[in-house]
Amino acid sequence: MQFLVNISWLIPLLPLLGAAIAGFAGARWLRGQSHWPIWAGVGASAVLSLMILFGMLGSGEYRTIPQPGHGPAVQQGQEVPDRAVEAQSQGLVPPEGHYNPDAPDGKVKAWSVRWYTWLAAGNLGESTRGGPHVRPGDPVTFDRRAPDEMGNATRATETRYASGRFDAGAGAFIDPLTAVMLCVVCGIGFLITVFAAGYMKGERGYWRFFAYLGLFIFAMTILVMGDNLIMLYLGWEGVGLCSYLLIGYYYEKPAAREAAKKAFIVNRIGDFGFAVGIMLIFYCFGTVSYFGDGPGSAMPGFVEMFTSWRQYVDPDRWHLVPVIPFALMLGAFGKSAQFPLYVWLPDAMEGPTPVSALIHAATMVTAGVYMIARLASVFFQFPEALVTIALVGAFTAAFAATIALRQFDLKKIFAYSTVSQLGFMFVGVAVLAPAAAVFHLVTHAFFKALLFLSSGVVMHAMLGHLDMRKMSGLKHVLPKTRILMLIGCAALAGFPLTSGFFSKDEIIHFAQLTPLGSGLGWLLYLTLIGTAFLTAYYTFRLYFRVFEGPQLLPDGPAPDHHPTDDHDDAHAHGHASAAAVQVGDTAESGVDAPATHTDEHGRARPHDPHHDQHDHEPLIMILPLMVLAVGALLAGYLNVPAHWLAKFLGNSPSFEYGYHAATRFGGHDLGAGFGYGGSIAWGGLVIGALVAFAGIALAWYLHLANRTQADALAHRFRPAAILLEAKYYVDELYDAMIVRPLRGLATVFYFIDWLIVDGMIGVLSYIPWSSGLTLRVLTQRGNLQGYAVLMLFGVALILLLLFL
Amino acid sequence: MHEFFPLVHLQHYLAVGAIMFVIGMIGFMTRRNLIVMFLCTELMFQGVAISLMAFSAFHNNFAGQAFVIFILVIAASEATLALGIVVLLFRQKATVDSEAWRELTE
Amino acid sequence: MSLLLPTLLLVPVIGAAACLLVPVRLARWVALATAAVELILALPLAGAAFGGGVVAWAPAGWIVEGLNAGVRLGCDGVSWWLILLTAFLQPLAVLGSFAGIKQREKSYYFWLTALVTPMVGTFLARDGLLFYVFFELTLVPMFFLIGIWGGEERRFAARKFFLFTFVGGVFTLAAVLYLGVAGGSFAFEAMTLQGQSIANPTLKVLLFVALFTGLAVKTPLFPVHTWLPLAHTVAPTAGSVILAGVLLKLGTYGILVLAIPMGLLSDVALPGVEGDGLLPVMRDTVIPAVALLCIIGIIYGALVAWVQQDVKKLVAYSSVSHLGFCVLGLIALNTIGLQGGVFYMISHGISTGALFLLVGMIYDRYHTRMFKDYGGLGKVMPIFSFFMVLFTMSSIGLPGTNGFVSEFLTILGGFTSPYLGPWYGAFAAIGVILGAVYMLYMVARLIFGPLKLPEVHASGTHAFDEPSEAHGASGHTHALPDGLPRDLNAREIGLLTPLAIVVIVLGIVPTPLLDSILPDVQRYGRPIVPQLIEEQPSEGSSGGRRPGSPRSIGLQPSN
Repeated sequence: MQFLVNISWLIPLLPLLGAAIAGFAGARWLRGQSHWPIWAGVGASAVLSLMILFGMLGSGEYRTIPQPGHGPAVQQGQEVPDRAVEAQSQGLVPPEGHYNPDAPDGKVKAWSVRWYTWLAAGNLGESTRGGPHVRPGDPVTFDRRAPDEMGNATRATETRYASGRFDAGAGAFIDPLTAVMLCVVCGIGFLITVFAAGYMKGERGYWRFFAYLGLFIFAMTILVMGDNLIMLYLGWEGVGLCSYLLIGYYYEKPAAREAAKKAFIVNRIGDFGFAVGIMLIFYCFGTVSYFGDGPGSAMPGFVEMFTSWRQYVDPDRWHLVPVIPFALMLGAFGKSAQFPLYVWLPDAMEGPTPVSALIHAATMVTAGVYMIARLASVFFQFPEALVTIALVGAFTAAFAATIALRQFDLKKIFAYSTVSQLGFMFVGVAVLAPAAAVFHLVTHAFFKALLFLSSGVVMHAMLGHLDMRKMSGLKHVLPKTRILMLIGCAALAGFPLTSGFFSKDEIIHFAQLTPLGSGLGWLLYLTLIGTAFLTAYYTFRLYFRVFEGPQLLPDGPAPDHHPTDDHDDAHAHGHASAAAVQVGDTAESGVDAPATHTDEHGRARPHDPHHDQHDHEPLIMILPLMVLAVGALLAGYLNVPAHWLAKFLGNSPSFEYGYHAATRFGGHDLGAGFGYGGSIAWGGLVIGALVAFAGIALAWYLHLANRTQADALAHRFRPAAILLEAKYYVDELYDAMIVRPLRGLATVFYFIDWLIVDGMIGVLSYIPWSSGLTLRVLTQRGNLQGYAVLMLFGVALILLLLFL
Repeated sequence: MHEFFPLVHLQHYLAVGAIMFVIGMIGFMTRRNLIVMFLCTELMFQGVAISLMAFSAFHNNFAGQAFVIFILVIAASEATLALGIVVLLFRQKATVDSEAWRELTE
Repeated sequence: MSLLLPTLLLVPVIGAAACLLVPVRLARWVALATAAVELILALPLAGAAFGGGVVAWAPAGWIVEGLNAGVRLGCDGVSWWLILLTAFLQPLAVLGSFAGIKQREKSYYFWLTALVTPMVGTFLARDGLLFYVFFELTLVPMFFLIGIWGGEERRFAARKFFLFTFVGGVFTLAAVLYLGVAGGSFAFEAMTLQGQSIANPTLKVLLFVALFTGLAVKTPLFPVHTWLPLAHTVAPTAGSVILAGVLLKLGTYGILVLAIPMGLLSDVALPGVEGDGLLPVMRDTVIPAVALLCIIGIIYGALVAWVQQDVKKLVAYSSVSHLGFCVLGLIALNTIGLQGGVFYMISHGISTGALFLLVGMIYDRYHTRMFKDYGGLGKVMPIFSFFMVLFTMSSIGLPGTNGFVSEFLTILGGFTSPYLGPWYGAFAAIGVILGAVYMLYMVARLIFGPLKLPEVHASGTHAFDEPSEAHGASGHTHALPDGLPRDLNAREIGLLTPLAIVVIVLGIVPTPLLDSILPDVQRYGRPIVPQLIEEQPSEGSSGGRRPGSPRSIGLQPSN
C-alpha cells in the first residue's frame, strides 16, 4: 500500500500527460487516433485507483493517540511518539484522533504524501493581530504534541496569534473517501472516454476534445486527492476550466458560447465563497491542510482542530468561525448546481454528450458533496449550516424535479434530474449521513452516466435531435440502447433492487431520523419522498415517450447539428442527402448518398447515411454502456445489506472527525450515517418501492397507455405547464435582477470614468492652461521692445525686493 | 593698474560701464531695426564687461576676467547666429523691422 | 559581479546608439541583440535573489559631496526579479514590433532600446535622487514611442501620459528632496532612517501622501488611472507590453521601496509607535484608505473593462483592476501580502504583456481592435486561441497559473492583515468574480461564436471579399495583405511560448520566487530598528536561508 501511495502522483499525471500528447500532437499527427493517449492515461489511472482501493482493504493503522478535548484518552501509550516517528520515517503520518471502537475494523486508513511545497509565503512568527512581531525569545513553540496532565493537548495554543505563514503543499491525502472518488472518477471516466471515441468520431476538433478530457481527469483527481484546501481549489477551478472548454466545445454556436461563459461565471460566484472560506480557515486556524502538513510537520490540520475549535482559535475570531461553513457551502452550491446557483448546469448540456455524462453528471458536479464529506467536521459543528444545506438540498431536489416534468429535451431532463439528485446528496450530508450521500454519489455516477450516454446514442442516431416530441417508439431502431436506457431509468426512478433504489432510500431514511429536529426530519422526508415520486414519473415519461409506443422519427438533421461542418462544401451534400433520408429506415437510407462522405481529413462523418445504415449502436459505444449498466444495477449491493461501502468510508479520518463533531447532536443511530453500525431500514425500502411503482405507473398511464390524456392534462393546467416549461423564469429573473443591473452599473461607471474622473483631472489641467492663455494674450504680443520693457520691470522689481 | 592711473578710480570705470549699458538698453527699446537692436545688446554686454574688468582689476580677483572672456566668446557666437538669423529673416520679407515678425509669438 | 550593475545600464545606451548608426534593415536586429545581451547579463545577478546578499555598486567618486546624492546602485531579490522581467519582456517587445512597425524604424528601435536603461536604473537605484531621475527618464522614450508610432490621438495620448506621470512625480520629488536634505544623504538607508524618525503625525502623513501620489499615478490607482487606457490603446504593441509589463511596476516598486519604508513606517522608539512601526494615524486611517482605493479600483476597473468596445482598452482597464490587487497586497504590510504584491508585479507583467501581444497580433492582421469586428476566431486562428485562453486564465487567476498565486496571496494578505482584515479581503475577492466576467466576455466575443473577420483594407489585395466567404474553404490558406498568415506565424509562436511557459512554471512552482524575495520584503515592510536585531525561529522554509533572517543592508562601495 505504501508503494501505491508513493506512486500516487502518477494518477493525476498520466491523464495530464495524455492530454499534453493529445493536445500538442493531436492536431497534426494523431488526428483520429487522439483518443489513445487519453485511453492509456486514464486507463492506467483507473487501474491504479482500483489497486489503491483494494490495497486499502487490508491495510491501515490503529490509532492510539488521544483526541484533544474529548475526555481521557482511550488508550494512552508511551509508544505513541515512536509510532509517529516510525510512521514519519516511512513517509506516512497516521492522522491522529479519537480511537473509535465502532469503526469497522478499528483501523484508520489514511496515507499522506507531500510531493513538493507548492505555495508557501509569509513568516510564521508574524503577528496577524497587529502589535509587535514575535521577537527572539518569544514563545513560538511548535512542539504541540505533548498532552498536559489531563490528557488534553496544549498544542497550537501558542501559535494562534501567529499564523503569518501560509504553507500549502502539493500532496496527496489518500483515505477511503479518496479511493472511492478516484475509482468513480477514473473508472467511469475511462468508460466515458471509450464511449467518446465512438461518439466523437469524425468531429473536427477530435484531438481537442480528448485533450480536454485528459485535462479534466487530471484536475478531478487532484481535487479528490489533494491534502489541503488549496489543492482542492486547484482541482475545483481546474475542472471548472475544463467544463468551460468542453461546454464551449462547439464554440461557433452562440448558445454554447453563452452556456460556457455562464457555467464559468456562476461557478466563480461559488468559488468566491470557497476562497473566502479558505482564507477564513487560514485566518482562524493558521493552516489549510486537512490533517497536518504532511510528513515531518507537527502542525495539526484544521479538520482535526475543528472538532474542538474553541481551543485553537483566538477568541477575537470566534465570531468568524461559524461563517466558514456558509462560505464553503457557497462553493459547493456553485459546483454542485444547487439552488440558487444551479442555472448553469442545464445550459451546460450544450457540450458534447460524453461531457455531460462525465463532468455534468458523474464526477465534477459531485465535488460539492465530496467537499462537505471531506470537511465533515467543519460543517457538523454548526446546526445552522446543516439546516441550511438540508433545506437548500431538499428544495433544489423538488424544484428541479418539477422543472424536469415539463421538459422535452432528453439531456435537459437528465440535467434537471442531476440537479435534483445532487439535492438528495446534499440532504444526505446535511442530515449527518455522509456515508449515505457518498453511496448515492457512487450509484448516481453509474446510472446517470449510463442515461446520458444512452441519450447520446439516441442523439447520434437521430442526427442531433433530442426533442422527445419528435420521436417515439425507438425500441426497434435502437434495441440495445433501449435496454440500457431502461436499466438506467429504473435505477434513477428507484425501481426496487436497482442501485438507485437503495442509495436514495438510505438518504430518505436518514433524513427522517435527523437529529437536527424531528420537524425538519419530517419536512425533509416528505419532500424527498415526493421528489422520488416525481423522479420516477419523469424518468419513465421519458422512457415511454421515446422508446415505447408507435414509431416516429424526426425529419432530417437538427438545425444546429454538428455546427462545425459548415465550413466544408462537401458536407452540404451530406446534409442534403441526410435530410432526404428517413433515418433509421435502413432500407432506404444511403440511396443517394454521395461518394464524398468523408471530410477534408479523410474521416468518416458520424451522420452520413452510409454510416447510419450500418450501425446506430457501434460496439465501442455500447460496450462501455453495458459496463455502466451492470454498475447501475449492482452498485447498490456495495452497501446493501452489509454496509460494506459505508464501513469502508467510516475508516476515513474525515468521517471520524465528522462523527466526533456530530456527537454534540446526540441522537441514536448517529454512527450509522458514518458507517459505524446501523442496519437496513426495510420499512423505508418498502415505502420507497411503492413510491417508485406509483410514479412509474402514472407515467405508464399518461405516456404510454393514454398519451392524449397527458396533453389534455397539460392543457387544463396550462399556466403551470408554461411556468414549468419556462423553468420558473429563473434565468430571466437573474438576467433582470443581476446581469442587467450590473451591466448598467458598469455602463454608468464607464461614463463616470469618462466624464467625472477624467473630467475632474481635465478641469484641474485647465487651470494652468487658461492662466497661461490669459498671460499670453496680455503680454506675449510679439513685440520685442515690449518684452524688453517687461524684463526691465522684472529686474527692477527683483532689485527692489533685494535691497529694500 | 590703478598704480599707473591714479586719477582713474573704480567708480569711473563703473560709470562708463553703466552708461554703455543704459545706452544699449534705451537703444534696444526704441529702435526697430533688428541689426541696430542687436548692436545695442552688444553694447549692453560690453558695459557689463567693463564693470567686471574693473572689479577684477581693483580687487585683484581674476574671476571677473574669466567671466569677461566667457562673455566675449558668447557674444561672438551669438553674433554669428543672430546676424545669420537676421539675414534669413531679411530674405523672407525684405525688411529688418522687428514689428514685421510679430507672428513669431505663436 | 558588482560591475554588472553599471554594465546593465550601459548596454542599452550603446545598443540604442548602434540602432541609429546601422542601416535600417539591421536596426531591429541590433535592438534584439541588445535585449538578448541585457537578458544574459541579468542572469548572473541571480545570486542577489537566491544568495541572500545585496550586490552593490556605489563608487565614492560618483557621489556629489555637498548633496550626498549620486550613483548608488544595488540589486536585491525584488530588484533582480523585476530586472529579469524587464530583460525578459524586452526581446519579446522587440520581436513583437517586427510586423507592426513600418516607418522610421531606426528611431523606433532607438527609443525602444533606450527605454531599458531608465527602467533597469529605477530598479537598481539605491539613491533617492537617482531613483527619481530614472523614474522620470522612462517618460521620454515612452513619450516618443506613443507620440510617433501610436494610433489615432497619439499626440494627445502622449501628452496626457507624460503630464499625468510627471505631475505626479513632482510630489514624489518633493518628498524625496525633503528626506534627502533633512537626512543629509539621499541613500535609501539614510532616507529611510530620516523618514522613520519623524514623530509629527501630520508631517508623516503629508510625507507619505506626497511619496505615494507620484507612485500611485504611475501604478495607476483608482482616481488617477485615466491616462492608462488611452496610452495603452494608442501605443504600439511593444509600447503597451513594456508599459503594462514594466513601467507600471515602477510605481508599485516605488511604493515598496519608498512609500512604505520611508513614508508609512516609523521608528518604534517614537512615542505612540508600537512594535510594528506604525503611527496610530497610519494604522487607523491611511492604510485603510489606501486599501479602500485599491478595492474601489479593483471593482470599478473590472466593471469598466466589461463595457469597453475596444479589446485593448479592456485589457488596459484590467490592469487598473489588477494593480489594485497588487497595491492591496503591499499596503497590507504583512509578509504574505508583500510577497504577494511583488509576485503580482512579475505575474501581471507576464500575463498582461502577453495579452497585449495577442491583441497586437490581431491588430497587425486586420487593423482594428473593435469587438464588433471579430468573432469565432477559434476557427481560423486555433493557435492564437490557445494562447488567448491560456493567458486569459492566468489573468483571471486560475490555479496552476501565476495569476492564481499572485491574486490569492494579495487577497490573503489583505485578509489576514492586522490593519485591514477579512472584510477587505472579501471585497477584493469580488474582483475575482468580475475578472472572470470581463475576461470571458472578451474571449467569448473574440474566439467563440460564428466566424466574423474584418475586411482588410491594407495594400489593396483582398484575400477575400466579405466575412461570409471566409466560411468557405478559401479562408484557410490565403495570406493576409501584410504578409502574415491567417494564424500565428513561427515568430509569433516563439514570442508567446516563453511567456506561456513562465505562466505555468510560476503557477506550479512559485516557491523559489516567493522565498527569494522574503528577506527583502521583510526589510522594506518593517521598521529598521527591530528588523536589525530580529532573528526568529522559523519553520517550513524550504531553502537553506531562513525566511525570517534579515539581509545585510549595508551599502559600502564594493570596489
